[in-house]
Amino acid sequence: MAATQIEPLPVKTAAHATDVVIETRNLTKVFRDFWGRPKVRALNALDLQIRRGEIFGLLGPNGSGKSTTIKLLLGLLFPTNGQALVFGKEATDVAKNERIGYLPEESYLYRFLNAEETLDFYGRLFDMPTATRKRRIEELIQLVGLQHSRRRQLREYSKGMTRRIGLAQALINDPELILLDEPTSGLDPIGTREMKDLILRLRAQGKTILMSSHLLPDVQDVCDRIAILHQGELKELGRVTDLLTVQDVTQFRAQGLSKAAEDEIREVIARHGGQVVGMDHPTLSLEELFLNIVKESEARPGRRASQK
Amino acid sequence: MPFEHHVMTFWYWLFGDPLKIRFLDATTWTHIGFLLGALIILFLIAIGAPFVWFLMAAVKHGPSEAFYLVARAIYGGATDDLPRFSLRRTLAVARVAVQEAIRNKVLIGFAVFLVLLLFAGLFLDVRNANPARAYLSIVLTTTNYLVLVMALLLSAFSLPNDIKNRTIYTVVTKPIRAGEIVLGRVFGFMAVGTVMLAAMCAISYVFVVRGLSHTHTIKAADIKPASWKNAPPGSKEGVTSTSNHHQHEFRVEKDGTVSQTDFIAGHFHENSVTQQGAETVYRVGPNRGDLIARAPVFGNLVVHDREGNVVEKGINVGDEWTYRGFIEGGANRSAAIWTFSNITPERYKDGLPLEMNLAVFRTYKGDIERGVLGEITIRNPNPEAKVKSSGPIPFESREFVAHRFPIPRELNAAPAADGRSRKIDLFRDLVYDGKVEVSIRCVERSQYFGVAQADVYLRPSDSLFALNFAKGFFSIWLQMLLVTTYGVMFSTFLSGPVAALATAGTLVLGMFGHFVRDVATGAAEGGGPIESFIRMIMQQNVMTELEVATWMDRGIKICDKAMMGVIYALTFVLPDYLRFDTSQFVASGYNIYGDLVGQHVTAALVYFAAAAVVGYFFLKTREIAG
Repeated sequence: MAATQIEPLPVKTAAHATDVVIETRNLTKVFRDFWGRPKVRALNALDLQIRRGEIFGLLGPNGSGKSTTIKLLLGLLFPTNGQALVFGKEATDVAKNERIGYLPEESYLYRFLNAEETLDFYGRLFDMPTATRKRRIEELIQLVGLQHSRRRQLREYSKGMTRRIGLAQALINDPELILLDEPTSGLDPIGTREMKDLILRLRAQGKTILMSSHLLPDVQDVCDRIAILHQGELKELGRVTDLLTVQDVTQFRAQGLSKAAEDEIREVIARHGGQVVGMDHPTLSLEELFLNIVKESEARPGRRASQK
Repeated sequence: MPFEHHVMTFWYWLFGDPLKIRFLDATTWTHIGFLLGALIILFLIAIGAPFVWFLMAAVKHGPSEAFYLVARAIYGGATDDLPRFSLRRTLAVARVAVQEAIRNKVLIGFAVFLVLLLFAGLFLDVRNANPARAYLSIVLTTTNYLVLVMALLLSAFSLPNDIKNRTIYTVVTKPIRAGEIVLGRVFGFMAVGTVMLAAMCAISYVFVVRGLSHTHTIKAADIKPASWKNAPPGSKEGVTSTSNHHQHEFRVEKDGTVSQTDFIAGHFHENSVTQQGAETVYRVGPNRGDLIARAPVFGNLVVHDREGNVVEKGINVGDEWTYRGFIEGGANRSAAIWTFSNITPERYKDGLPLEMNLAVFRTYKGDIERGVLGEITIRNPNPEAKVKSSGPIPFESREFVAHRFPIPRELNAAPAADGRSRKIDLFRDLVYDGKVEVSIRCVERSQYFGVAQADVYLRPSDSLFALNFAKGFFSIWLQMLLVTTYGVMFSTFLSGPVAALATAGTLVLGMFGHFVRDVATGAAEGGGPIESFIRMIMQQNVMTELEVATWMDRGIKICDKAMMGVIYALTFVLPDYLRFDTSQFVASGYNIYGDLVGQHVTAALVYFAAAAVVGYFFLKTREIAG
């Protein structure tokens, strides 16, 4: 997927970390039934500020209000109460869409179009002149690695390919702000890795990214800051490193220690009034293992990974 | 069915007769032109719709919030969306709409059309007195209904499907405006419809021309000495062979030339005769005169009653469709007088090419073999003229056909007191200021002629039939535009099936608008929806009082009145589809004249624009993911 670099955006303003791109104030959404009676309080009094150049993660179980927040920010839903501001303007203002890219939960695209037609269509929606559009389509198809399926109708695409073309359409206008709803859902570990790499690369180009996910490792790997939602309420908000660091636990990692040395260290800890919580040999995460195997297999085809 | 049409110039249609309108007198409101009517209705909608919207929003959000919401939507539409309108975006949506239509097997509609034509060919009544009319009616009506149903299905389901499949999410999060989505869809479906309609037009044309095309042969044995009255010696007459269920008669003059055949089944044939050695060969040419487009020059009609007073319309001879008024025959002053303008010798070299399409009402059978007798007088519109009128020119009425009756330049003057007949010249003696009057009377006592403005006209030349045929299809195209726009408009806030029903509802209301108005005003018996439903269920006659308790009757009447009021108001907002129907013109062989096309185009554009604006606001203010 990472064959070509996406052309970097000429940074319009110096990326001040304090520039607020998205702001919600007391944002509330209540879904009503046919008779206007409140049915579900999908989002309750959310206050958020997302700044330029950061990757912000919305984390929470299914039905916690992540997608609702994104839809409110896109103007697909209207707030029951409060405000959703994007680039300082109401989210219902169409003009903001010029600077936004959106990858929906599932790639809702016209299944009777092929990859090129799809990108061409969305390019036209940005009123792009033909030459720019052509160049951009070429770049994006390379970027998401769909060179070999560019003329196939989307109905024939696998889940992963649909995701890629969905991402390509979200980037067609080289947006400043990218909203990704469950970007890694349905992707295999390689796809997930590539998606995460791409997100990081986009950030390196100065773009702001808001992503929602219920897959914790994904959020942990890429997000600068996260908000944890549960049942429409904001439960936690902060930098990932701060949130995950357990202040009263100290962790050592060493290599080449003998059993005697380990015992001695236990003793030292006990003497200082500490308590050994755990001391063992680390395992790889399954993700790391899987990725290693694939990498190995690509390097030496036809061999089982364990036959070293 | 003779040709029936209310003639109206474009400007009269547009502006009406403002001087005749009295604000409080509803009977004078018929003089309101389209422009004023449209402005009034659009003004009411422009005032009323935001107010209703405000009320609805106020219930939900409170008055101040609601006012802000409505004001912002309208202000934003005018200052933001309108100036940023992009044709490229609109056409991009149109292109996807075309692809979607093709994917949705819109071509099946085309296949249905072909199958219908095949079967029509089998079932058409070829013994019909006017097969051309039958052929033309069938192709135009079939195409019309098929295309409208297709437009309805395409337009009503597209946007709701996008919303259901959520493909709309990736579209509306781009800088596209609601108006561009609405217009793009309409353009896309119209592009598909236009291509299909053009193909149907071409196929229909071939179908009609080939279906009617035939020829006859002449056998020597069928030519016999002439038997008609005062036949010159040596002349002969003959009949052609039978084909397409008819045969023609023709004459052979004494110098050996053959006349064209008689006019049967709506056409005639040119004959030719050649000598091949000792043999005389008669040839019958192709059918002619059935596929034509008369380009009539209409005049203004004034009807006089038996005392000679000018009346609005002739007598009504019964409760039938009151297109024509009737003038009484016999020795009284009843007459129908048409005034034609721009009569110059350059234009009408050989006199007035008059053609008539009168209806006849007989109060006694008389000689049923011949028509009712009438007389034409050409009159000078100048009351001070030396020569007031020509002498009466007698004619025999012919029903259900356009009756050609050319008036020559040289006419007999009205019989003078001394009984001598003088010759007068049409242009020198009777035309005044380019105008001339044609007066028609019925001379048989107690017989009546039915007359309307379009019944007597001049026919200096014909228009091209193929062009007129295309114009007939253009009328269908305009109807398709309206159905498509309304379908897309309804689909901006209704689900697919409901939008389709609503669009179908506008079609039905548009086609039966006159009936609905009659029911609403009480002119048609049987009551409103509830009352007529009860009458149907209980099999009660429409003329009797409803057989239910008085309080119930009153309740039903009130409900009906409210419902009919709404429907009545709707008939003014929704397009009158019947008005766009020009199949009658093409089938009867009349050119669809420019003024009429102008009226249709203007009306269609106004309805299109209004519906597009309404659709825009609905889509703009709709919670897409809600």
